[in-house]
Amino acid sequence: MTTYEPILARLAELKAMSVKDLKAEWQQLFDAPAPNNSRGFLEGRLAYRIQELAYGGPDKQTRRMLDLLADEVEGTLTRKSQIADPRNPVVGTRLIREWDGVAHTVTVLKDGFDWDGRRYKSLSAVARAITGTRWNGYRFFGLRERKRGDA
Amino acid sequence: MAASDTIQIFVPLKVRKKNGRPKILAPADYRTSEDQVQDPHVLRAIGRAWAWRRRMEAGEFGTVRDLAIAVDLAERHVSRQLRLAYLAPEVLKRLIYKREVTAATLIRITECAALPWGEQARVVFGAAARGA
Repeated sequence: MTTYEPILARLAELKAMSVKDLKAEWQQLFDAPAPNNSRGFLEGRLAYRIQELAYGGPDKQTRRMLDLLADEVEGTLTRKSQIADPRNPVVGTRLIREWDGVAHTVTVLKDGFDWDGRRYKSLSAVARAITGTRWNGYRFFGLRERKRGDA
Repeated sequence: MAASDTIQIFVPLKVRKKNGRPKILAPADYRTSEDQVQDPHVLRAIGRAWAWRRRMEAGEFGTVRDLAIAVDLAERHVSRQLRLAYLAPEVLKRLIYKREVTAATLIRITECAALPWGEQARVVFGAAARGA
């Protein structure tokens, strides 16, 4: 990287600038007035902007994935979820649950569960196949996160 | 099983509390398999930070304090988590698009967002990090 040295020098310069200078720099780089007078905020964003102008921001694929994740967290998800349920055990884990005297083994797959040679999207679906009634799948297999204070 | 036909394999592993839950940490030079799934907590935190960044940059809030009030969280927490959205693009790509596992905790990752872009990957993915 040939442009690297001057960039590092510019980042170092930010630290020595007054808030007034930082705001002037902001006007330069963002073509808009600085939104506030917080030194930490201005410095951090300017450092990002300098590097973004030199090397470019996140590429298209990354931006798309970031938007997907953000939509999912904000609850405006329209597509397949990207974030696995943290209650899911590691892929390949075998869950064993005894029901009616029979031990049922479920294998965790990357995007679902395998029981009896068939694939299910959720543990609830597996539990329903086993018992014939609706269960919370995590509860049926004992994976409910214990709340603090639970024995 | 007779001892003679038993093969013993030792894999060095560390168990650490990460983000409040026990997590098995592989040795630093371990190359992750293809089907590696990114820690959902990392994805969720980065997604939330990106959502906040979008709202800040759309001019919805002038300061992090206004944002913190709007989402009803402590300003310190919001400003630290928000840094995830300003990580070096290469690091973000490897975390959420390539879903490479990280040896660093979320807190550690938020801290390194202040480093120059060229230095972040080393902290987030460890010394054995493969180039992007």
